[in-house]
Amino acid sequence: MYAVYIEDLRKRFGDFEALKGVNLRVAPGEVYGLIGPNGAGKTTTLRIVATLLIPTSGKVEVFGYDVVSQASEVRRIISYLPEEAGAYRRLTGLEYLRFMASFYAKDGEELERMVEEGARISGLGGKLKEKISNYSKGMKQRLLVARALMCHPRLAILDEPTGGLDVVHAHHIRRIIKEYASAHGTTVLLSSHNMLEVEYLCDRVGIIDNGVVLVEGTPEELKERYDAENLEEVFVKVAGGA
Amino acid sequence: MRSPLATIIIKELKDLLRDPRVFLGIVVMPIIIFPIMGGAVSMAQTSTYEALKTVKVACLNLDHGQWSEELISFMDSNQQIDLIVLDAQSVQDAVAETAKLGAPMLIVIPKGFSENLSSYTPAVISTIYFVKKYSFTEPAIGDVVNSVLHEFSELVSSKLVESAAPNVNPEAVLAPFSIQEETWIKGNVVRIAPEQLIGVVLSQSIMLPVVIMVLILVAAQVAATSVAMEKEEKTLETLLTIPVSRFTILAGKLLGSVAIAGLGAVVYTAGFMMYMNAIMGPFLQALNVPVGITPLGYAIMGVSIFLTLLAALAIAITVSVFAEDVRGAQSLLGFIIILVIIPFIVLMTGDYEYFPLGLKIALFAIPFSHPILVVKALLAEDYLFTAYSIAYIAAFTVVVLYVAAKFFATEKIVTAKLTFKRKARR
Repeated sequence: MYAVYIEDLRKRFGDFEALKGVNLRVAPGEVYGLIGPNGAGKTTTLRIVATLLIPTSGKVEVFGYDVVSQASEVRRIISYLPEEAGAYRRLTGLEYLRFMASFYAKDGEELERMVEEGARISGLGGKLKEKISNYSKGMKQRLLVARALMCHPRLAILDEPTGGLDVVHAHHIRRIIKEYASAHGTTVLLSSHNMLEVEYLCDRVGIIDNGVVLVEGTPEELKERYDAENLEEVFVKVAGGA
Repeated sequence: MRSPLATIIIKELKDLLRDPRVFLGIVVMPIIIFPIMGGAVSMAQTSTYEALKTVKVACLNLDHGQWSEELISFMDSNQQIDLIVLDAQSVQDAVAETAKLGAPMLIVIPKGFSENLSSYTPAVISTIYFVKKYSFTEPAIGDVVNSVLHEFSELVSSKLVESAAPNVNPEAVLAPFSIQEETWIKGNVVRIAPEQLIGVVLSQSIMLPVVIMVLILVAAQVAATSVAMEKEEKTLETLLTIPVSRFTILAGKLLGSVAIAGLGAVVYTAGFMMYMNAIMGPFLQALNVPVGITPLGYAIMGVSIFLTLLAALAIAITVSVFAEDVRGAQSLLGFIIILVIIPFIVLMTGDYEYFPLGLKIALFAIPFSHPILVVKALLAEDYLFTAYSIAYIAAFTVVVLYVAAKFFATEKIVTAKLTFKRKARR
């Protein structure tokens, strides 16, 4: 069984066809990176997997559950971090973690465990007692990634998890995603513009453009196939070469 | 462990009550506004009362007869009047002198005044009023002087009757009968003129809708802002992917806003009652008749307000789904505000009973008319109308909630937005 199984996925918004037949398979425990230029269809694909959008046609399954007919089952095992997501500014970091954990924890003990884990992953320490409105962008993103991972999802869907962050915060987030995924065997489906990040984090990569996944493979395979020194070169040759 | 619904409601309450805009609008504003309103009204009343304590009046006596001298001493003995008798020789000079003195009124007793009265011929006294400020106090000054002149006129009549017919009681000639005004209300006959009673009751039924309208507007703002904030900060997307039904999320947001609006209702109503009691209380107590709304009526009114509030919140939430951010939500909310204000103005200025059928139907169709209509129906003890009204708002609210739930259950909650694109220039 695949963690994520996408077959001939199409999505229309009125006259605009955002996805034109996406095919994608992610194995359990794999960290899969979806890369592509702006408007390629990355976010739409992730939103469909996260049960936010309904496909126009095609099949999307998460651990065997259909994202349309079994959306509530899917929501139980996923965790989604939207691009440029925010948090409730007037809550404290700790209140926010507790609020989100309460939807996943079965009892009070598990809730406290999740909140503790979230606090540890975020690395925000005493700042968690402050209101989120006082956080910098980087701190907020660390809190949000911690929120997404603390509930032990089988699939974490992270849309641009380090987008717009400075080097220090971006490094922290990349490190915790990598550590968490390998320690818990969590499947991660992420999108990114940062090729270095993708190369560092992902077991496999898919390059998407104009609503279609053009190529897939491990970073090493792709570099070899396109005779490139790094993923950036592969990306330019595949998507931006025209 | 709390239920997901309770968790969402508590989060909403924390988030909203910590919002200074909501806190100011719901809690602080009424606490400040009602005492200010009460204070302003009582200050205005006190200042009018102070202004009328002594009224400066100038008097030009061109008669110098028995009756004019008597009138001057009559006015002089009145404590409310500070009389200045002028030495001027003409009305023109007297006007100039009065203006110089700053007196608001000049009384001119014409030549031949006493002679006319003594020979049973009607005489005329002129009063010239100096308008300066166009304030409410100014006509009241005229009333003070007129009432003193009327008193003197009655005194003269009585003396003239006495001298013409010494065996007749002047009272029986001047006022052969008097009218004792009484009003039947709720099975009781009370000694009060109907216009006075209706004035009091109407002031109750006018002020109450004002409070209700403010409440609906504040609640709609709170609900729309709550959803729009989630959209603006992209917390909604996260919330929609948690393992909780969409209806629970909608209900949580709705009930959170209802709780805040309920808090607002309590604070506003308490403030309003304090204000009304301060102004109307003594009068209503003296009346000793159950005027206004009964306890059952208040319960019916509560249900009506709650349902209308729920409808307003459901509409606000549905509308805010189409907005991208808080500003957009507030612009879209403008349409709801119009729907709240129109029936309010129409029903305040006219009588629903006498409206043409088309207007009646239109007003009945707008849910926000109903709390006002229900208050009026309750004052008239028309419980059948209140039953129809509540049934209608309940049905309307169910439909709107159904639509809102449908929006929340589909991807429209993420994708829907109203854009007002400008046509591209060539």
